[in-house]
Amino acid sequence: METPETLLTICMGSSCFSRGNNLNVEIIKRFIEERNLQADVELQGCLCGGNCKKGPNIRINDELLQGLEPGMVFDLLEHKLRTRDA
Amino acid sequence: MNYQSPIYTEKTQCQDCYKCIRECPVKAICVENGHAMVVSELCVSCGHCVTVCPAGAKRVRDDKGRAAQLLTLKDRVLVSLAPSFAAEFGHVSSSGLVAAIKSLGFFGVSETAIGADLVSAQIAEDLAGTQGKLLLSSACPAAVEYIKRYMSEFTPHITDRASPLLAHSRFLRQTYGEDIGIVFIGPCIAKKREADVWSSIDCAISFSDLKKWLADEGIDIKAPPRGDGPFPHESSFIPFRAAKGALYPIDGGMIASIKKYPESGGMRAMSVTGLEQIDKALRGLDAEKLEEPLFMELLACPGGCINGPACSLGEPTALRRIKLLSYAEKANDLLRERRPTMTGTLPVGTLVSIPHTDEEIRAGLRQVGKLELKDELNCGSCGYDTCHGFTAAMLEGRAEKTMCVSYMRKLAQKKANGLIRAIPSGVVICGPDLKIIECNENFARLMGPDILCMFEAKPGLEGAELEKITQMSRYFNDVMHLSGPDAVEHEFREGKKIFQVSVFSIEKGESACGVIQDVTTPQIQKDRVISQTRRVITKNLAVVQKIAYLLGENAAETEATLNSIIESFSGLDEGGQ
Repeated sequence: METPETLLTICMGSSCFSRGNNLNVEIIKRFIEERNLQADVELQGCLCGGNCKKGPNIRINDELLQGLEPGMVFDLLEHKLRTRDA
Repeated sequence: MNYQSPIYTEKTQCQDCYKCIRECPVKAICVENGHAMVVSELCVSCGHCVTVCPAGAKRVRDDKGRAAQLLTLKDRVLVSLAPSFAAEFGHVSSSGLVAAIKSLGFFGVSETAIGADLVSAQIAEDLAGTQGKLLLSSACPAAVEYIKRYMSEFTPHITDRASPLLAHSRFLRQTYGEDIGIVFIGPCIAKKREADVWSSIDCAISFSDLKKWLADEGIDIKAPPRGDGPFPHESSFIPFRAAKGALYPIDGGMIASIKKYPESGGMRAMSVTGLEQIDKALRGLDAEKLEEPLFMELLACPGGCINGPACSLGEPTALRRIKLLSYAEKANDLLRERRPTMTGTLPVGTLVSIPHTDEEIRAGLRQVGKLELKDELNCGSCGYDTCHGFTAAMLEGRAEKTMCVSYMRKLAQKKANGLIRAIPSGVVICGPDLKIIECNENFARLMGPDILCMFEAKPGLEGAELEKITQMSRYFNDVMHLSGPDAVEHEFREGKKIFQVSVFSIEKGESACGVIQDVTTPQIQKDRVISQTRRVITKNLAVVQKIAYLLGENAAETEATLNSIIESFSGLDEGGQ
């Protein structure tokens, strides 16, 4: 099996979790499922990275994305994952 | 796209008043553990609950962050500004508003009314060649959703025409390219549903969101910074100003706009605003029996979009209407442009409702103590118009037994009655004038045979004056006094009997309750003997310990003194030798 090209890390620290990552993780999972991206995207959780102040945080490969409200996730993934494919 | 529904409940704020249920035209509210939540499968996003919730617990999904993110993701993001802006921002010039919005980073601002003009031109053509007897406008997404979901027999009559926002978004993409971003700003919550469904609309925010956004960025609408932001040049609407589509947000505006197009002919048209009125206008109507074709303009908000749920409240609606009219007056009558694809109405999942059998309803009614027809009060305090409606909701898991006020009151009464009757002590409840509200038989028995006779004649002794029955009435005065203690305990003697009385206030200044025990009766006596005996034992032991301590101390002291005497005398002997 090929290694997925995108590594999506979602902070599950208590601050990020309560600020919206509890919902974000569901949205990301659903997005990956609906687009059949299971082979291309690997989703993993992480513990607090110390960036709580501007949370909730996720990381796409090495890029840290902050202040991600649940409503923003879909657009962001669509944009980030599409530009990566192109 | 967005997975969350446009309206949600801030659970901790919800104070279980059921006002949202009472006001919701489609009863799309589910009560769970006393908190009311919007059922998105039933909700038509009219936003009425958001405006009526007294606790402010009904919230509109905030897509401001999403719109701001879009500015960073796309090169050019355009605003589709709802025509109601003329009513909402009547105090500023449209160029000032455009400049302010653009300084947030938007490429340009276009009027959604352009989409309305495209729809008007399309409908005018449609009407000329129509075969149908009844045509329902598809401009208002909440009205479309309401009809499709709750009056589905009229679904075929809805014109398969894009809403003004959808038409406008397609038009903008046709003009500026597919890769632009489009953010709708307006008075409407149902537009969020549209933005969720159609990929050509990126997201929808409200006027109040816009105001907050501008305030957060420190931009004053009245004096916006000119030449600021990435796209500074023009401060007028792009690509041009809309025509009479600007009238759409008031009732009759759509019809007025369509009638400007000569091809519309002399159709019979009427406007209906408010979901309740739409229901009244259509329910039971047989379209086939209409003598002439009829076009109906349907708007979910009473008076039209200018009174939408995301508008600022408080301003007289007449003034809002005047502001809008004076803006629209200056617009052209017609707009002839190449139209994008003009089909598509909001897709709505059909509702599978299983009717409840009479037995089920009756069983449900019995659960809330409604055994006969006269028990069904249909008072509406649970939020549902009828007890049947409430029971059906309960069977569907959207309502709870505790919502029925008459049931809860009866239950509380029964509990209190049972308790007062069964308790072995005397219980008496008094009002502010020290007149008895209620007492039990034990109380009457404690007060002597005369009172017991009175009680037998009039159970409860309601209205009797406590002062005439017993002297303990003064304790009632104490606890009922606003600054008095909440509860007092006393032992007091009346005749040969000794009573132990606990008096506590139920409602300060209104009522107090006393629980009375006769200390001389065997049960109480036994308890008292036991506790007195225990006290004697403890006291005895303490005295013994104290005596022993004194004895010991005294013995030690004596010994020490005697020893010192011996020592001093034995020293003298040695010196003498």
